Amino acid sequence: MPKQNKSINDSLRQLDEIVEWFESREEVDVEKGLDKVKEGTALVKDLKGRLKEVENEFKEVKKELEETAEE
Amino acid sequence: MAWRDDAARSAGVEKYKILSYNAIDQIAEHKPQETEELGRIKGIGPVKLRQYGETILSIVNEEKQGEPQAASGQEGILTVSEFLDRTNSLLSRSLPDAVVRGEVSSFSEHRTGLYFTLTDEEDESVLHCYMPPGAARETGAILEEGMQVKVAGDPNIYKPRGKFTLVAAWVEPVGEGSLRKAYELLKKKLESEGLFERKRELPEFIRKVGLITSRSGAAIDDFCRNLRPLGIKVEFFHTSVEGARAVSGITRAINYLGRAGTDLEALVIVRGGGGLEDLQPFNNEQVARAVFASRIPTISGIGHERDVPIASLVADAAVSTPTAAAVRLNSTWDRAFEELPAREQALLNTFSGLLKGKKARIAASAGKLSQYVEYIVSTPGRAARELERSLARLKNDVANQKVRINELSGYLARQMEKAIKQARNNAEARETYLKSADPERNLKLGYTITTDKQGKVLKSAKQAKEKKEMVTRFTDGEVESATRNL
Repeated sequence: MPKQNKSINDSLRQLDEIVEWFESREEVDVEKGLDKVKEGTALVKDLKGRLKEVENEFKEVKKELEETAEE
Repeated sequence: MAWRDDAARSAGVEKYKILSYNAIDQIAEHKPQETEELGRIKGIGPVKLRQYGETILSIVNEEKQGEPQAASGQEGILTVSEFLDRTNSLLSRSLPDAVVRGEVSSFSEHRTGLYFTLTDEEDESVLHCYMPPGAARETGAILEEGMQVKVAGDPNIYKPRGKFTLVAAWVEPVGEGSLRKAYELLKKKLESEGLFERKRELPEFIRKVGLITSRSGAAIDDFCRNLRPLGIKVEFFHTSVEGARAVSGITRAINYLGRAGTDLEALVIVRGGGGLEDLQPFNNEQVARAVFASRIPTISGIGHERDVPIASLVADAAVSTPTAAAVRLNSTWDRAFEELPAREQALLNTFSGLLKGKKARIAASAGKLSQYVEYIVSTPGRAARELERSLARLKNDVANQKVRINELSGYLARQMEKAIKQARNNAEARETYLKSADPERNLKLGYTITTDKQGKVLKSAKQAKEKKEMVTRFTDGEVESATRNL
């Protein structure tokens, strides 16, 4: 996994957990619920940032040449 | 030349890797004496110079000295060895890098190398071929009797045997039949070794990828154009993807991109479509093994007609076009793109649900609150009224009190008056009484006060008789008297 502050995988998993949390209970404590929603919204925002359109980078690597030309 | 061939043979590499023909020509032409001169010849770099420089120089000098080399000392007459050497030189110069096509009529593999014979189908001419073990392995040549092949190499007379051979640099099957045969052979071999079994999972959300393909051709564009714009970093290693050179090129590319320290998440090998002949490098054993040995998961997007290229069979993921390879890479991001909107929606729903809940609670509280407020608001009225009433009462009382006070004070005043009158009356009475009781008045009336000489009042005759002497007070003075006994 590339070094990102928080990997996409982890963010998605956390998001899953939050949704799970809501779905698993009958009564939701409003205050706690709002906190979780806030957390979730931050995650969504972060992920959206990662998924937004950014041009790909293309770089040709110089292969290690032997010092005499081969062809 | 002979030296070069020997050196190449012992090092197990292609001859041109030691010294190219060009370089040899240059050496022959210029006959360098010093290492510096030698170094200036194109094709000889510092490493070669270090490794072979002296040897080359000594050979050049030898040639110079012994031209012509006549160990027998007689002019024009050569030894067998010399003759063969000369012939070999000639052969190399006139038929460098020859490519010969023929049918494999026999072959055997030994520790010393691969030995096979090529037969011309037309007139049955025979050519003995030899391939050094290193070259055979490196180029992944697979032979079978009856196979049509093309062999690239140099003509050489093997001196110990005096045998004319073609020293092969590489061998390739030629013609549909042979190509397919070679393909089947290799496929079977690698399958039995289990190279097709292992499939590694591609990591999710791939951001760094290595690309192996040719700079020219449509494949590279197809791939790059179809890659999702997510800031993916593509490291591209150019190599030929056709012909014999491709084998070493692709292998080198895989090894380079997969070297220790790189953080590429996948290796993509693509090329456009082609027939068995075009795709030869990808049906080559060496390439196949290099793909399998790749440290990084491999995606192959090699266009093919009927038979799936063996490199694709070995790769961790195989698709049939460069575009499809890009799509396959994009798919590693699917989960994020799919799940995110759903999660976001779920979150929003939850949020609005929560808000509704909160609103409801607030409404309920508000309702109660307004009731209280109503009550409180109306309460002041009542309190005020109460207060008013009390005030009124108070006022009343106060008024009453005032009246009473007034009354009282009047009454008091009158009483006071009465009392004063009374007191005055009493005082007057007393005065009157006192006046009447005043002894002077009595004296004036003729009464007298008799006291003894000391002044003590005598109230009785008896007292007087006792005292004998007495003083009598009249209104106009006193008289002294004494009692007489009668």
